Amino acid sequence: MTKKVLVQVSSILKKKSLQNRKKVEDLLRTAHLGDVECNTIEQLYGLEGNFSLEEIQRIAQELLCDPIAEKFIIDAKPKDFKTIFLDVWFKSGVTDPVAESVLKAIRDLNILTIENAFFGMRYEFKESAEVRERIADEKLILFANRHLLNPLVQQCQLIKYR
Amino acid sequence: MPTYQIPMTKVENLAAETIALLSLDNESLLRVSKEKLLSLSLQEMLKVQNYFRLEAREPKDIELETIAQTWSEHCKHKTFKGEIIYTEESSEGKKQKIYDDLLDQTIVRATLELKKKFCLSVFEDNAGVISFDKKRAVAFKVETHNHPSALEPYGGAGTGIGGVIRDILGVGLGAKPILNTDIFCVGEFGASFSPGLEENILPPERILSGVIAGVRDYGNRMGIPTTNGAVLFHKGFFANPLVFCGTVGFLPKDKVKKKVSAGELIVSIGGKTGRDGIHGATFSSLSLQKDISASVVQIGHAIMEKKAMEAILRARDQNLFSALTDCGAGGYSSSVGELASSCGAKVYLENVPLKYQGLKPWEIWLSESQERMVLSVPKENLKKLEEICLLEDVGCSVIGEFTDSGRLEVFYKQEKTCDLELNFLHKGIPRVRKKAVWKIFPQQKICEVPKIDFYKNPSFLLKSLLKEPNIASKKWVIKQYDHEVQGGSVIKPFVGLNQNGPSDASVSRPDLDSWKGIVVSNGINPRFGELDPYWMAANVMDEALRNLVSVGGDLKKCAILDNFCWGDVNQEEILGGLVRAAQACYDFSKIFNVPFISGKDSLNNTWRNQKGEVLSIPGTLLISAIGIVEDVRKCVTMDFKKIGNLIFLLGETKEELGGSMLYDLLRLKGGEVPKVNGKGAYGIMQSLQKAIQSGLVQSCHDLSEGGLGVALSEMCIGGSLGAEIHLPLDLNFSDAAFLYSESSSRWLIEVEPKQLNRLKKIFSSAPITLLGKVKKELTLKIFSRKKRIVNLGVLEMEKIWNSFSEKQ
Repeated sequence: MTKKVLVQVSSILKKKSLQNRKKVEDLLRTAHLGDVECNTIEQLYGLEGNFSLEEIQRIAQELLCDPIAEKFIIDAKPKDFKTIFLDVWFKSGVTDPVAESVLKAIRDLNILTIENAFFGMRYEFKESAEVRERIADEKLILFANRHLLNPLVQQCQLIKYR
Repeated sequence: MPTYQIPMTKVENLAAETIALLSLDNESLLRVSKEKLLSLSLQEMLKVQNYFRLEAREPKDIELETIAQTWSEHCKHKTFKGEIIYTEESSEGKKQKIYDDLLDQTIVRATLELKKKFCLSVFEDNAGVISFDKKRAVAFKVETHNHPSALEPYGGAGTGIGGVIRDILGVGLGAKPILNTDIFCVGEFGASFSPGLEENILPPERILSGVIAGVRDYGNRMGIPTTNGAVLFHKGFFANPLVFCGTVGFLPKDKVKKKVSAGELIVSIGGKTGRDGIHGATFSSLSLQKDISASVVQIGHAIMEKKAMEAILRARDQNLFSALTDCGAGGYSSSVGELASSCGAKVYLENVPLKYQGLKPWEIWLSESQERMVLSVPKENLKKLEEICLLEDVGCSVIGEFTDSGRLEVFYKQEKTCDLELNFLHKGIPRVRKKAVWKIFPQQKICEVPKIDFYKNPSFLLKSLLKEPNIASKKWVIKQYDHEVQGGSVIKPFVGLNQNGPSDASVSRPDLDSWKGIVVSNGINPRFGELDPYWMAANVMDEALRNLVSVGGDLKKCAILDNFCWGDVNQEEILGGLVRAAQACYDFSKIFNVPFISGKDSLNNTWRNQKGEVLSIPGTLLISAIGIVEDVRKCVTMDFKKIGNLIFLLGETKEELGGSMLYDLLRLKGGEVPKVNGKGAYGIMQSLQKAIQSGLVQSCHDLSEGGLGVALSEMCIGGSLGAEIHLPLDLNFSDAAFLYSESSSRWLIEVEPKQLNRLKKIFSSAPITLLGKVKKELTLKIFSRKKRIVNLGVLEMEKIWNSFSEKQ
């Protein structure tokens, strides 16, 4: 049976992480969304197949994550109602070279249960209840389409706390 | 993770579709061309209709698509190869000249007339090839990828560099890529969006950062150093950036020519085929419009190309194939069509490896999926080739066979979907006939620099110019590129003690066992083109060559490439500018005695906004020069070297401020565009070459954007030394004009005082002026008639010069 899993890889080097977040927050301010905070920006790997959790952990540890500079979380969820994930992926049919390399490398690890791989970016935003009332999801998606992705080849998805 | 739906087409729709064309009237023919994105004119559609009437059948969709791709502006250069009636209007009346074939009568003609023996392959293959030494040759090609980069900067630019690398890989029997060069032209940063455009285009900041990242990720991952380039900002590129990507390759001389023979297999090596880039060739001939499908954009996969490159070079060295070419615009339709042009081919599309199922035959045939090469392989060599591909982990599929039928036959699951006469396909295109006009008006002369009192604020202009994005350091771009990989780069983009002076050209050693090297330089200036494309072309040729000579290049072993990027050439005056620029290419190629070996044009760089207004880019010509140097140890850099050395200005300075950075800064229009005295320039270049080769010149820097003032500052920054300069006493124009004029054919050279007599001998017939000395004190002091007009610390200048880069 085909299963899906998301591996989220983030930098533990504070300086790098801060620089990237600052850029996004500057863009948010320019777009009059200064009340929305950007908590983290992470790399996202989607894997499909009939895999075991051990295999995913091995892939994350040995392949997707640099243990000195990065950490990973499997199937992360927004931790509270203030947190929103905005995931950016290539549209279907667009070449995803990182994913192709990941798939090849997984096979080189002799793990043959992964059928598909996808590469994306995850932006974790934080907004208070008051801000959320004012800023509709559409505004955040509009912002993402304008500044964080190219709608011609990419698409985004908001993931909220449940 | 979203649920991914691979774009499937129903199985029953996969067969080739027949298009009823024979009975259509003119209006309906044009409708078919438009609906199917064929970009074919009525004249062309009528020719196609007539062909199929003679064949007594209706065409299949794949046949129409094949013709459209082959006849696209991108592939056939219809304007350059068409008939142009050129009229020049001036106060003295009208002059008319008819060009039967603009390309043949200007650029190609110059090369044929110059008859250079070192040119081994010109205007016939994927790239121009010149001799390096007895056994080896170098190939050079520069391509543009403007429209894809406007829509998806990262993917567009990445596949731009990927494509030109494949051009080099596909020249002759395959050349090893040894260096890249990249020039980007984008809109001015911080420009406000007009309401009509806002939804449709990306801001220049985002375009540039995406373009840089795309080229960086592809070039660096391929293991090819990027040693040369430029970034230009101009409001005219706001909606339509220009992305020039070039690659130099190295190959054995006995691998320069290719020949396809009937009976050999058509083998595809590299990536799989998807819907990427479908209609790329016809799309590149259209103006940028809203609602463009994602399928015209490709995303590159550098690692795949690297593997294909390794496989091809190994197979080449074992003589396993007799011809190859890259899959570029038009995909297999173009690559197989080109290789089969002198024989014939049968292709079986079901043998093409697909990324996903559901592609129609014409989509497989036309897809511009990246990282694919097509080879002509003798049957007995197939097994060895497959073994190499297996070792390199790269796909290898036999997709057909070359024949002697003179026809291009394409099959899909036993059905013949395409059967075209190759002669018609390649030579049947009707000639384009266009009118071009150029109006010569007396140029408005602006003698003064009116808005700023130069003497009250003596250093202000220099400081302002140093932070102008067109002049300021491009450190943030350059440092993202790998200049060191392969170990052959000698003069890199930054030179000097602290690696912070901007180099005029790059020098590389393709063979680490030899001191022989390759110089690569470029010249580009759209601001001159706005005033007069003829003098723009002359100036950029001069710039590319003076950059080449600055580091020690030799005009006798040098060749150039042209890349024309123009606006809407259906407008007579815009086409008139193109004709003038092409004519200047002929004139100055002959004067400089330097041949063109390759080139490319990208026309119709326009953007149609929601109001229907057409915005054309400023006509832009990039000239890229490549030269061979016998001994790289004799090459020089631009940074000042030694305290007490003398500083000379070579060449003549005129009050030529039209199109200059100074006028740009002050928002002044008009003025005299610099004129190139070709014969004089050639003489100075020869003397300078001699001086550099004899070890007389310690440093040399060409004068371009920002003129003398900026060149002096850059030499101080590069050398971490100061200078004291005294302007000539006999100037008959302002100091500002002397300092910031952009007159052509000028250099600053640094010479030891003890070499003065030798210097005088070498430059006995050239205009040379002693300006001052290199100083220990880290200050640039400029005096005019004993009055100090500039007094700027070198560290302060460096900080200002780097300020734009630091912000990015």
